Amino acid sequence: MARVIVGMAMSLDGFVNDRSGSVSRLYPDLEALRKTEVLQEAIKTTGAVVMGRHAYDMAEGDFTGYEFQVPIFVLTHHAPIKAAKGENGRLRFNFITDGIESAMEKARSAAGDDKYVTVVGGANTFQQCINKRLFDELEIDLVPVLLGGGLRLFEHISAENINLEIMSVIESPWVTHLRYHVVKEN
Amino acid sequence: MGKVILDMAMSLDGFIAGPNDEDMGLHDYFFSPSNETAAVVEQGIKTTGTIIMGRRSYDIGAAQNGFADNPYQVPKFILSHTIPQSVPNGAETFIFVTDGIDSLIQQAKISAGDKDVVIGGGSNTAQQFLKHGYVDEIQIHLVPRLIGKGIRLFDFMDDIHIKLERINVIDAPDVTHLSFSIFK
Repeated sequence: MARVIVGMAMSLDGFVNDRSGSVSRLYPDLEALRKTEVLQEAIKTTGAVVMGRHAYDMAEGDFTGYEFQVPIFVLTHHAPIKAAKGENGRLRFNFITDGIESAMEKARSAAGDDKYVTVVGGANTFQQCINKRLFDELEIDLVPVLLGGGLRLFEHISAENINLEIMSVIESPWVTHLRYHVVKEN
Repeated sequence: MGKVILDMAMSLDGFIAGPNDEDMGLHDYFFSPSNETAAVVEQGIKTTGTIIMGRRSYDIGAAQNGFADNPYQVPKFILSHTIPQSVPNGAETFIFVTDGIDSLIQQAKISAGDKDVVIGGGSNTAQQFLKHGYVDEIQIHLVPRLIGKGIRLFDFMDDIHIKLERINVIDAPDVTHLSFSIFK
């Protein structure tokens, strides 16, 4: 079964954007980010993507040249009449209106056993994955800044006491990539 | 002159304790240290000149007789409104400062001399020192656990933006020791 990885960039004080909604302090250079080895590795190991509707909309209808050239399962209440540009033999959109569990199940089988389902989305999608325990691995890009306020990543979390194990800690010039897997309870 | 270092253990989701001050296993790494952690602690003992903590942290520690085997044999300054009548075992070197944070930091720095002043908690005390701009470095012992609820380290920070620079990352099996300096 494909494993599910959720991840976000987060300030040391736990925010994914500041109070004005800006992420500029977390991602000073998106182009540099795209070139990182960590992202290149993610591209290689991702077999399917589960995407929040907001993340889908941020592409403004064009996924041409999108880094993850795999089936994409978009979480939404209503499927759009016409999918975004950029579909091809590998990248195909599937709009899932019956919940994240359903999206995850479909993505897992699309990804294949030896690949990952990568969750691409904002704090809300992330929190759903945590609360419903729909993840095997957690990747946090820890950004060296205190924002003092904004949207908190670990908020509205009803799940308690999830033990993780550190898989890897990678220092890039800007962020610290922390990767964990969930310790399964017996 | 030494530095002022905020030094605390925190869960990945940002908590330093459970809702009722429960430890939540956040200091297991300290009490059964890996080789990597032992080296970090040993270094800390060498460079720490004084320790600052808030009165609540002191009271919690005192109630649990938590100062008896403290490896940090240095003066400890407690930010407090009142001075307790008696101090527990191991707490002989505690100095209660009742005239505020500015006075406390001056006294702690003089006492530390060339060594560092370490702020050990709790979160309210940490927040006050951060907001007053007294902190030079932040050392977080990031524990791979999601607690879900409790006392957050970085809370009530009033939108202050603090730019940090990563100094060091020590990758122990059960905790990640991260240190940052604050741009002033």
